[in-house]
Amino acid sequence: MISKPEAVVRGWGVILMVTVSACLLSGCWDRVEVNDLATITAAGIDQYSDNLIEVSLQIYTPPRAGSSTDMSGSEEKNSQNQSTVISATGVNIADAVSKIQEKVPRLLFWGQVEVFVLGHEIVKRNIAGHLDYILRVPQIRGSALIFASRTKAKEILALTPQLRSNSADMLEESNNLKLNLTMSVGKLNIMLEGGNGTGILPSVDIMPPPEGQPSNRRYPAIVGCAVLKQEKLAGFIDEKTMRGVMWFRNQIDKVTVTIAAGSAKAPISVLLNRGKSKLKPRISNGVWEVLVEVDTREILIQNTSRIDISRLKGTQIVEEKVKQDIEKIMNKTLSIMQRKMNADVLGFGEAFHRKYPKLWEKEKGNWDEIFPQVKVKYEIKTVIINPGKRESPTTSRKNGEGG
Amino acid sequence: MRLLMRLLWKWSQTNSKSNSRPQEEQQSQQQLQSQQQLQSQDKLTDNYVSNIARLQTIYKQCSDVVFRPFQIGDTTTASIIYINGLANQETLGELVLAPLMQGKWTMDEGLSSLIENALPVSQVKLLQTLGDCVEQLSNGNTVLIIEGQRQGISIAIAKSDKRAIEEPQAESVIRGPREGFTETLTVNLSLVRRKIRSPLLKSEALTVGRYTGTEVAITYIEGLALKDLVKDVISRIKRIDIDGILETSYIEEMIGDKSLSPFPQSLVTERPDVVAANLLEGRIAIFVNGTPFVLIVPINFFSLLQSPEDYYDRFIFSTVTRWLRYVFLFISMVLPSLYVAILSYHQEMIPGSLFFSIAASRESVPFPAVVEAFIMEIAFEALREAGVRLPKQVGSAVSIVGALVIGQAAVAAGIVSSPMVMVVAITGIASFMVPHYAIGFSLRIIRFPIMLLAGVIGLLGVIMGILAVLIHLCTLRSFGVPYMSPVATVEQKDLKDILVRAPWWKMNTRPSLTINNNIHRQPSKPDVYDKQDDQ
Repeated sequence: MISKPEAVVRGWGVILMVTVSACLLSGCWDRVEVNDLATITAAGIDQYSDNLIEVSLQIYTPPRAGSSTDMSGSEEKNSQNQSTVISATGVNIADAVSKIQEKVPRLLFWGQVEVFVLGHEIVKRNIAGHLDYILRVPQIRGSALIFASRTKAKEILALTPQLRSNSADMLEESNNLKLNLTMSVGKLNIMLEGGNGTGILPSVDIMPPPEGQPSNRRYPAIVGCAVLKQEKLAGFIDEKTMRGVMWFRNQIDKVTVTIAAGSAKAPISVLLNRGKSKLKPRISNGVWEVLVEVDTREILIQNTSRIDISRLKGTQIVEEKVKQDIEKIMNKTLSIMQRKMNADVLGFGEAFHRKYPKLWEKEKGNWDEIFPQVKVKYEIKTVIINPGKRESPTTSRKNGEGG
Repeated sequence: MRLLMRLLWKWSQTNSKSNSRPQEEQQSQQQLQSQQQLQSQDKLTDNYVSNIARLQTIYKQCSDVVFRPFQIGDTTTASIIYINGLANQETLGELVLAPLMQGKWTMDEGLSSLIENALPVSQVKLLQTLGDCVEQLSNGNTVLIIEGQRQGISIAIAKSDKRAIEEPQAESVIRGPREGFTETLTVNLSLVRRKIRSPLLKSEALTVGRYTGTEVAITYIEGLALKDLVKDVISRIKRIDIDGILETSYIEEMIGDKSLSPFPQSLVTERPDVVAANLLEGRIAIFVNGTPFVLIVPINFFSLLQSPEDYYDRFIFSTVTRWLRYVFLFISMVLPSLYVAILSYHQEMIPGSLFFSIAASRESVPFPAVVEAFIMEIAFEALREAGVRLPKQVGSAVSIVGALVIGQAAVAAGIVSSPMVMVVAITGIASFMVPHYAIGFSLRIIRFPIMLLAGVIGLLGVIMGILAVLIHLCTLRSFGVPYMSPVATVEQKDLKDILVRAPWWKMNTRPSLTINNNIHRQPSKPDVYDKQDDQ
């Protein structure tokens, strides 16, 4: 009855019908329009009471509908604060977030969150449980930055810094500059897991407003770091120690080192052009040792002394001083970590783990006893590669000490 | 499922009914027979009056056919018959009527003497049947019927109204020849003959079309084109049985391997240099009288992405242009779909600051991204089509109004978002980057189902769409040549003209799939050139 080509056509017709209806009838069920999203830019977690925590979400609020018709005015509006902070309490993050979701008429969207701020009290108690939510929710990126606050996280999120659209944006940008130690959620997790809950977080505090400005001009800034031991706060360290940690962890970048040299002890400043550090662990006769190799290149940016940097001898004096300065910073950091906090945030444990994996498995339980005893040697190399645009020292060369 | 089965059953019922129609078919056969061009085998007789009368019945109610009786040497009656406008009337009077009427010719010595002495025309032919007469008249020649003669004479003094050779509009180049084909077959063939002077350039003539009797020429270079391929093309064209061929596209669709595919399987060009280049690579060109467009077969996907200028510019520039073209080819196919998919399903994939600016501009848009994309894409296609169809002066007005309305007012009114306008604009430009209009069009068509898939299942849909297109492309063949060759069936030697455009001194071989064993373009001694450069 039916010739073969017709049957073939019919077969294709059935396949086509089924595919098209499968596509169209299912109706894009998990599609979410951008208009229906409440995009979280930053999240803060505070201890509310003994059992309750408070989660604050900084949510991006797009400019109001219709404002785009007014082309000239819209730009001004854009520069204004575009985020709202909404808070709710709960027994854990998930609980609090679900309560926020009830308040917000849009779907909370974690995909763009860049910054987590942990309140002071949270860091003091224990952060492990909170980190679990952050690491488990699929939408949250591992590259989101995490900070420890010296005050309430909610206050930091609510601030509007002057140079950036919101505080999350500002904290995120500080990462790009690489002046401070930065920690992402993913990296922190690795650090905590590898080091028995030892970790380090940059800490934020609220700076008073510039003189003569109203109090709403207060702004967040990074002030040192919070060192974690067993997933809770062991202590805060200042910027200088933070820099020392960064030297050990090979995170140093664009830093200005100022030294005093010459007979007058006049300050000389060099800008780090490139800095690398490497930990070389060694175990000999039961003594755990780490050789820290630091290799740097500097640019001279200010020379108030009479040292003539264009002469080899002058250069050598400055290089030696810079070297001593770096070693001093590192040594001080080391003693704080080894003696005061006994927290290995310098990456020694990881270095030993890599080199002596089998021994590490045996000894990692005793690391708290071993770490303060680790002997550290430095091998620092400093080279001034560029004396800057100006050749001569401040005063005439005749009196130059270097040459 | 049961409903589906029932539907199928009903369908088969209606189909089986249509089988009982032998009578109908017979009738349509008869109708088709009557459409046949007059191929009368009726001989001309020595009865002049009956000859003329029979021709007049054939051409009754044809106001443009002229019968002009006159006397040869005052003794013999004769008639010239021609079609007004096709024959050159001035020459006719000067070279035929004047010498015959004024001379003292008698018909005693027969026709051949008359032709030898009285007709100063170069091309003259003797006609035996009425069919011959009709054919010659259609060609624009003049037929001379003389009293008492069994044969007619065809005098070739056709006048052809030719368009001048102009620069092709659709395929303009900055560097390269500026001539383009015209509507006249003979002119077109001569343009190619001027470029390829070897006698091995062959062109076989066919006539297609019951009413139109259109001349079709199949051109190839003997020894380069595969013999079987030529035979195949000719037999495919001979199988065409249709009332008329007005453009190359009729033939293209009739002889294509898969005419249901959105992708063209033959190249259409109006440039003699493109035809010559393809003939030199062993391809076959099909000329049709009455259109400046020439068909080239077999081709592959990449032939459609090559511009003639690729071969005239310096090779580094051509190579980079080709890469750019490949990138934009991809963009023109999937950019709106990617935008829709990412914006509706994968918002986390967009960098933060970009996401916020998109979100800000989308805030007041009432439609979902996929609907927005469809609106804009369809509006763009409409604008493009309107711009093509309208006269030039109005066309530019349309594009200005369209650009203003869609680009500015729609965004300002909050109906579409400005990123969407950008996406559509980039896609539109990308689709015009493809040198051959036909392939640009198919990519634009394919964009819509992929957009739908993107709106339904996000990036998965986009990937599914791309895979489906790729699979389809790999199954296509153009006269036996795999469509994606030399990439899908890798021919390393041929990649020199696909991934890059090799310098001419490295183009030693022709594309291998269309060539007999004759693959060498030039002696492969590239070293010689290099060394000369060094010294």
